[in-house]
Amino acid sequence: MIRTGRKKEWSILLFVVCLIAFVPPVISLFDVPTLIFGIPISYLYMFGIWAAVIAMTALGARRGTEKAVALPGAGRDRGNSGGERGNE
Amino acid sequence: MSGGIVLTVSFLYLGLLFAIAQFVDSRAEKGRPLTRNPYIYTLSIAVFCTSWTFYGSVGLAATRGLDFLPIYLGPTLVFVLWSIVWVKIVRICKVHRITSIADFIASRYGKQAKLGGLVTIIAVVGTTPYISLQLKSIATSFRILVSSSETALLHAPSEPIFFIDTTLIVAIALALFAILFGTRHIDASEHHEGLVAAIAFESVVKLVSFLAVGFFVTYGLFNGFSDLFTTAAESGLSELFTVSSDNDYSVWMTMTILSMAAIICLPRQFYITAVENPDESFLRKATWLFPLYLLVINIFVLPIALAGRLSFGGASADADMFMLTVPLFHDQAFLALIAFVGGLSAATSMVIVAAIALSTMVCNDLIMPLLLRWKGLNINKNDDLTGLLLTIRRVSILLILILGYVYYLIASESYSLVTIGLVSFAAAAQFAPAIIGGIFWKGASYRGALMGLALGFLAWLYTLLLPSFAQSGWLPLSFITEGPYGIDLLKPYALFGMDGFDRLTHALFWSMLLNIGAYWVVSLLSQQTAIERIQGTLFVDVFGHTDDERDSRYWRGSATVADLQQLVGRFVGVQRAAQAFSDFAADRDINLRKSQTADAALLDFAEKMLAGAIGSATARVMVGSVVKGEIVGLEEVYRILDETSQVIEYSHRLEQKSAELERATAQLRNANERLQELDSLKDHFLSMVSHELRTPLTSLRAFGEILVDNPEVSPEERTQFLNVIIKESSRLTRLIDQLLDLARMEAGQMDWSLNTVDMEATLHEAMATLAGLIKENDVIVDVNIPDNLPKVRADRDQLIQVIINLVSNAIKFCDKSNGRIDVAVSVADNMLEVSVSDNGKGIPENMSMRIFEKFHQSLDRDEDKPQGSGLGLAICREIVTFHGGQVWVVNKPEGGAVFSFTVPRADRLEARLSAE
Repeated sequence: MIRTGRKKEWSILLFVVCLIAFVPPVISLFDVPTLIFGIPISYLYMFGIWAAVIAMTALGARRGTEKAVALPGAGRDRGNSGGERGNE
Repeated sequence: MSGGIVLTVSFLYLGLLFAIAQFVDSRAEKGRPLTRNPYIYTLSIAVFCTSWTFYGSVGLAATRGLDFLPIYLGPTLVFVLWSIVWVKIVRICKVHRITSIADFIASRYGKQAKLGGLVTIIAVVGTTPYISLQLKSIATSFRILVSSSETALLHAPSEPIFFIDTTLIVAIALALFAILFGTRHIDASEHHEGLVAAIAFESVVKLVSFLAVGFFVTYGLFNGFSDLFTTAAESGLSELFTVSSDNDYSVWMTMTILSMAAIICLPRQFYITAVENPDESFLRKATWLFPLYLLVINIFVLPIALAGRLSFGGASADADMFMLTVPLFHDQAFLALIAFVGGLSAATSMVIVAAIALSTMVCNDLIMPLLLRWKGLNINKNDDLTGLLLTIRRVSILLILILGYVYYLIASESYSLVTIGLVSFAAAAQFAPAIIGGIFWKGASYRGALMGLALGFLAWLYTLLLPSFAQSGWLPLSFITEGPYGIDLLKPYALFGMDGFDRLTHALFWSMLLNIGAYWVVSLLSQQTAIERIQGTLFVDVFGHTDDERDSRYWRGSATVADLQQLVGRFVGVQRAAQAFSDFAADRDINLRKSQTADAALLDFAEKMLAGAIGSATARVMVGSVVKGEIVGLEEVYRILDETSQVIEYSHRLEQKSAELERATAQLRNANERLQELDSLKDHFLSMVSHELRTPLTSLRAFGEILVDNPEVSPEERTQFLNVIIKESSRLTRLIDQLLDLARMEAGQMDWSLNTVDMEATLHEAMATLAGLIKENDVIVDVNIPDNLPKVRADRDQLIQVIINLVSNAIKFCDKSNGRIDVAVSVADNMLEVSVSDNGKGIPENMSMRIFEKFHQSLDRDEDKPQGSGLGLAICREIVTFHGGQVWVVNKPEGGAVFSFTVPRADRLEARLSAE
C-alpha cells in the first residue's frame, strides 16, 4: 500500500486527543467516584473515551478514504501470502 | 474439586490446542490456509493479554482501582498510530525477512552479531519474570481449584503434588508444548499457521471465560452495574472507582509509557504482530479490533474486583485470584473451572509464543554466531545443520522456562502478578529507542544503539531486578535500605538521592535517560560504516526501496550456484533449498547450472533465505564464507541507494532537456526545408539567368555573323542590325548590373549617396524613363501626386530604380489588352508611401512575402517562361530596407496587386534624430 499523508494526519490527531484526555490535568477533572445512574463518572469517562477513540481509529482505517495501491513488489517476496489482496 | 478432573480438563484443553494447530497446518500445506484473515491475526495479537490481564488486573483493581487501565490504553495509543509505526515495521520485516526483534535491531544497525546477542540477552533476562508470572498464576490457580478447604480460598496452599513442585511440572509441560508447536521445522520466515490459529483460539477462550465470570458477578451476584457500584460505594470502596484519589498520576503515566513501548518491544508481541503478519492490509482491521478486544476484556475487571472485596470483606484474600475464588466462594465450581481454563489459555499462549520467539533469538543471534566463531567445532564443514538448529531451539525453550521457574522460586512468591509483569515491561522498553529511532532516523549508529541498550539494561538491572532479589533474601536487604557497601547515593530505589518516586517511575527515568542519552549522543559522535548507512537507508526509506531490485546487493565476489545451494541446504534442508532455487530460476526465466557463478541477485536471494532461518547477522557471515573475493562494494551500494532520490531529479531534468531538443529539432527541420527551397530557387535562377544571357548573346552572334558573312548588306539594314546589337548588349549589361548591384548590396559594399530628395521630381523622372516601355505595351499609367509633398531622405538614383522596377513589373503583369497602372503617393506620420497598382491577376496569397526574395520568379504563371530576371523585387527590397522603409504587396479585391513601399520623410527624420 502506498499511503498519502492524510491517514497519518488523522492518526496523529487521534493520538494527541488521547494524550490530552488521559493525562493530567484533564483526567483529574473526570477522575471522581461520583455515581451517575449508579456508575462512577471515572469509569464512564475512561471507557467512553476509549470506545470513541477505537471508533475513530476504525473510521480512519477504512478502505477507500484514500487511494491505496498495492505495490507489485509487496507480495512478490512470498508469493503465496496473498500480499496483493491489499486492494480488495 | 478433585485434582484429577482439573488435570484431565487441562490436558484435554492442551490437546485440543494441539489438534487445532495440526489441523490448520495440514490445511496450509495443502494450500488452503485458514488463518489468512484479519480476525485471526487480531486475535493472535491478543496474546498481549496474559495471566497478568486475566488474574493480575483484577488483583490490581482490587487494591488500586482504575489504575490497571494504562496497560491497555498504551497499546491502544500505539495502534492509533498504526499507519506510522506498525505498517513500517511490518513492511521492513517482510522485505528483510526479519525473524525476531533481535534480528530487527541487529539488521538495522549493520547486521552486527554483537548487537543481536545483546538484544537477545536483554530479551531473555527481561522476559524471565514475565514467564515466572505465568507459571505462578497457573500453579496458584491449580492449587486453589483442587483444594477444597475454606482457607485455601484466602491463601493458596503450596504443598507439592506427587512430591514435585506444581510450578515445575507446569513449566516442563509448557516447555514440551512449545517445543512441539514451534520447532517442528526450520525457516522461521515461513508462517506458523497452526501456532497462530491456536493462539487465536486461546484468545477467544480467555475472552469468553472472562466475560462469563464477569456476567455471573454483575448479573448473578448483583443486579447489574449500578447495583454493584452502589453497593460498593456504600461499603466504602468508592476509592477504587478512581485512578488516583490524590491527583498523583505519575504511576499512571509511567505505566502508559511502559505499555506503549511493550506492545512493540515485547519479543512475543513483535513476533506475532510483525513477523507472523501474513498480509500488511490486515493491520487495517487489527488497528481497531485489537483495542476493542482489550476494551471488552477489561469491562468486568473492576466489577469482579469489587465483588471480591465485598465477598471476602475484611479478610486479606489474595486479590490476584479473585477470578477463581469469587465463583468458588459462591459455590460455582463449574464456573471456576471455566475461569481456570481461561487463565490457563492466557498463560499458555504467552509462554508458547514467548518461548518460541526467544528460542529463535537465542539460536540465531546468540548461539549460532558463537558456534560459527568457534573454530575448533568446525561447524563450517558440517553438512546438514537443520538438526543442530532445531536442537538448539528446543534446548533453549526448555532452558528459558526453567529460568522462569528459577525466578519464580527466587523472587516472585513475594510479589503480585502486576509488579512482576511491570519489571518485564521496563526491560522490553529498553528496545524502544533503538527500534523507533532506527526506523525514523538514518543517522542512528551501531555504537549508539549498542551503548544505549547496554546502559539502559544495566540501569534496569540495578534499579528493578537486583532489588527484587534482595527483597526475597538472595541479596542482603541492606542493599536496598542502605545501598551497596553502605553508599547512600547508590540505593537502587533512590539512585543519586532521587527520592519520592515510585520504584517503576524511578527505574524508567534512569534507564531511559541513560538509554536514549547514550543512543543519541554516541550516534552523533560515531562514524557510521557503509553497511550501517545502507541498512539505515533501507529501513527508514523502506516504502521507497521496496520494489527496488537492487536492494542491499552488496555481494560482489563470486560463488558458484552449487556452493550457495549447499550452504542454504545445510540450514533449511536440502530439498527445501533445491526447491527454492529452482523456483527462483523459474521466476526469472533463467537456467541455473551448478558450476555457474551466482550473480548478485542470487546471492541476495540466498542471504535472505538464510536470514529467514538463522537471522540476518549470521546469514551474512555464512554467505561471506562461501563467497570468494571481496564482499565490499558497500560504498558503491550506498551511493546507488542514495542516488535513487537523485535519479528522480535527473529524470525530471532529462525530460526538460528532451523537450528542448525536440524544439531544436523542429527548428532545424524548418531551416532545412527553407534551405532546400532556396537551393531549388537558385537552380531555377541559374537556368533563367543562363537563358536570359544566351538569348541576347545568340542574337548578337547571329547579327554579327550576318554582317561579317554578307558585306553587301545595305547600309539601312546594317544600321538596323547594329541597333539590335546595341540594344541586346545594353540588355545584357543591365542584367549583369542588376546582379552586381544585388551582390554589392547584400555584401554591404554599395556606395550610397543619401540626400534630401524631392519625391515628385523623382517620380516624374522615373516615369519619363519608363515612357518608352509604357508606350510599347500600350498601358495607361495614372500618376497621382498630392501637392506639397515633404522631401524624403534617400539615394535618388536608387529610389528611381525602385520605382522603375515596380512599374515595369506592373507593366509586365497587368492585363495585356487593357492594362492600367495607378501610381500614387500618400503622406504618413514619418513616411511617404508610394504604391503601384496594376489590374493583373494579383499575387497568390502564400507568395506575398516570397516574391521579394531574390531568384524568385512567378513560375506558376500561365506563360511558358518566366519573365524578368527575378532580381527586380529583391533589389527593391534591399534598397527600401536600407533606407529604413518597408515594401509589401496586397491583392485588390477587384483583382490585381498593389505594391507599396515607404521612404522616411527627411523633416521627421531630422526631428527624430535631434530628439534622440
